[in-house]
Amino acid sequence: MRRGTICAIILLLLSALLHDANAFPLSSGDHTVLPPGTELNEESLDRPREVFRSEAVGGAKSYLVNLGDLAFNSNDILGDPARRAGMSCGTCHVNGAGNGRLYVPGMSTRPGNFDTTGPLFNPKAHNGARDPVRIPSLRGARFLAPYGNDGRTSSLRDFVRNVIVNEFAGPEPSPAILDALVAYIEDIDFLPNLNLATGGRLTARAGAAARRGEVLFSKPFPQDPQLSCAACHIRSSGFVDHRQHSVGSGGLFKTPTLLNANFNAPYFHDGRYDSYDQVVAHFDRAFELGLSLQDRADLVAYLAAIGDGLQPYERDGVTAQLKEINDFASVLNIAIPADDTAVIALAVHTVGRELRELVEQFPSLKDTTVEGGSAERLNARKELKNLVLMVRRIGVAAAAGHFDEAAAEYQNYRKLTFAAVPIVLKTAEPWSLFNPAVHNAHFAELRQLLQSAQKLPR
Amino acid sequence: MNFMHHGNPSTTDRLQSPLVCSSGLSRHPLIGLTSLLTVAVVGIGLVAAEPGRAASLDEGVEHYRAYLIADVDRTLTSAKRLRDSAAAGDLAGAKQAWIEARIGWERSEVFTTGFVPELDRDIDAWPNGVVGFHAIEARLFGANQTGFANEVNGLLLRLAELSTTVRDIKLTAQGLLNGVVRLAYEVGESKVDGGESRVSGTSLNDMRNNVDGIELAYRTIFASEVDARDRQLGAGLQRSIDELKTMVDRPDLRHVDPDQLRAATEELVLKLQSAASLLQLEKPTLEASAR
Repeated sequence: MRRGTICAIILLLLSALLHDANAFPLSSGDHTVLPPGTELNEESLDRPREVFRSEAVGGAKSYLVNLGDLAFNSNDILGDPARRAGMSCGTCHVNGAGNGRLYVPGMSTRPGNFDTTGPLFNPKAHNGARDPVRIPSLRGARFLAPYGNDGRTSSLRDFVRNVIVNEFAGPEPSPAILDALVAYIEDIDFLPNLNLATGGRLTARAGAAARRGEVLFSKPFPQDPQLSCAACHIRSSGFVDHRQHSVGSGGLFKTPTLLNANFNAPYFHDGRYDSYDQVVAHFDRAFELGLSLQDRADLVAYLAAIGDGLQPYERDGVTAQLKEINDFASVLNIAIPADDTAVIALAVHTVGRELRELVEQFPSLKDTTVEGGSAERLNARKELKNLVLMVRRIGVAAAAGHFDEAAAEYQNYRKLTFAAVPIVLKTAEPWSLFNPAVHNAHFAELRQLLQSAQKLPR
Repeated sequence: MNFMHHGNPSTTDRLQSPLVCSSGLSRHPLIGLTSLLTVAVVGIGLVAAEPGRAASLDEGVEHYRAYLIADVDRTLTSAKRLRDSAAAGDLAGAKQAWIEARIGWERSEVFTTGFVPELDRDIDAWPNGVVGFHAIEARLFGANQTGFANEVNGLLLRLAELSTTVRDIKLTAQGLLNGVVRLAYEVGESKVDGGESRVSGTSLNDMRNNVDGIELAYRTIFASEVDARDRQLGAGLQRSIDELKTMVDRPDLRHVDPDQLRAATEELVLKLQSAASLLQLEKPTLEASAR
């Protein structure tokens, strides 16, 4: 939910945790600067579009996929430091994509990377080295084994468990939750790419430069004719070979896919490069390819063509948010009749939290940056808060073993979220933070407030 | 949390405060007992004569008004000290006065949001660097400046208006129950961004004062009537409030578990909604209607 903005907020918190116990997140001392990578901008209104295989083939997401999506976006499955900061898997892998803007001071060396063996989330896994890795996109993950930047784990399930238990010090997940997380991740598809035909060849849509690049991509390296770009990035195989190689970046790393890679910057295992230009220059240097400027430009054009994707981002808004929340809540269709208290509790926790965050997209009357729409905003806030309470009522009833009561309340919840609430929220949307003008005014004011807190340091 | 730098004002203030509910009712047994007895006697009489809404709620409301006036006046006094300290360039004194001014204000939120939304907006605007407490907070705690004479004068004007208003505005049990419910929900809002008073690092004070305000209003107006009609619900409500008090009684915000807090506040709201129907009041909604 609003993960771009949420991220910025988390970063503020984490920076306080790491740097200065007294700064929360701004202190009256010297550390009053927003951490780099903090985004309060309009672009955080765009979120990566998530394509599900089950829906793409004309079906619907299964219970397992929805449960996995729910768990993926719940802070409840991670350890205490992450949970309290409101982090979930979805904080880094926004809608199953990466997050090139995530920056955690002390754990990142640049936006888009993160030290999974750092001190903050699990001291037991802390290796004493500053060795952050790029936050990968999970699109098409089911085709991309082995897992991890160095491809150390062949099973996605094992990898996910390791992230939860060891990287983020979470409690041992139940087999059902692990299965669900894997089902969810394996349902996330690549975005379609109109530049690519069967076998990974370019279509007529691609330009001349990309075509020249395609030829260069398969051309044997002069110093080692057995090698070429295409030898590892196998076109017909998702541009991967499922193997690890040394490419002069300090060790063995698995071949990353190039599909949808236009949206996966930064590049390399540690996210050291921002652009294809830099990546191509690296290979030119490391493998003595002797590329001309034209060659480099053609390779970059080719990478951009095969790395493309249809509608990579979608504008965040009431409709997208409600759909996501309803998909999460839908696990209750099965969990309540099954008396599955663990899943009910997870849904209550996460749906309630998401609804609360959605309330804050409709500024209260205390927000002097928004003009007009008072009645609409208040109405939206009221209805959403009412849903928060309904969800809590479901949780309280289920925890007491009153599953019939929980089922009845869930039916009420569904009725409201089917028609009445969407209308109320859509009516209020023009005065919400989903409107770029309102969003910008709100955050400009917040920035100004924080800046006035930074003038004339002691 | 950097309010520790300021000598943990919340603790100090709570000990000094004559009207803080948690200690207030027990600290002033005569006042507390008298009001409880009055409420009980009137309550029983009315329940017998006319089943339904008891006049004791209205009496409780007037008792609550006395506490409310004291809280608002204390805020006004502290705000004047804030103005004077700032004018004298006394940074530490101004910070302390700002923190103290927040106490009564946050306790009064049971009343302010619903009854005087315009004043609420001017006094506690967010995020706004021009008016109210937080405009001053940013300069005072962030930039260590005391040059905010215009802002503090504006704040004083609005607080003086509030002080006048609370003396004669019509208070209703329904309106105050709405306020209690809305404030309880708000206490459970995410403070992962540092909360409302993030620059001074006193968001946890705000939360404690909110909870004190909730308890004050609940015990003064509603508790005895709820207890008389449904002892179990009454006990449950007090337990929920006690639980909340324990949760926010922590050295700093990082020691408050946000998920537990959220659950506790929502369960309190559910119980308060049950109490509303028991007292034949309307089920409180979580936002005021727009004016």
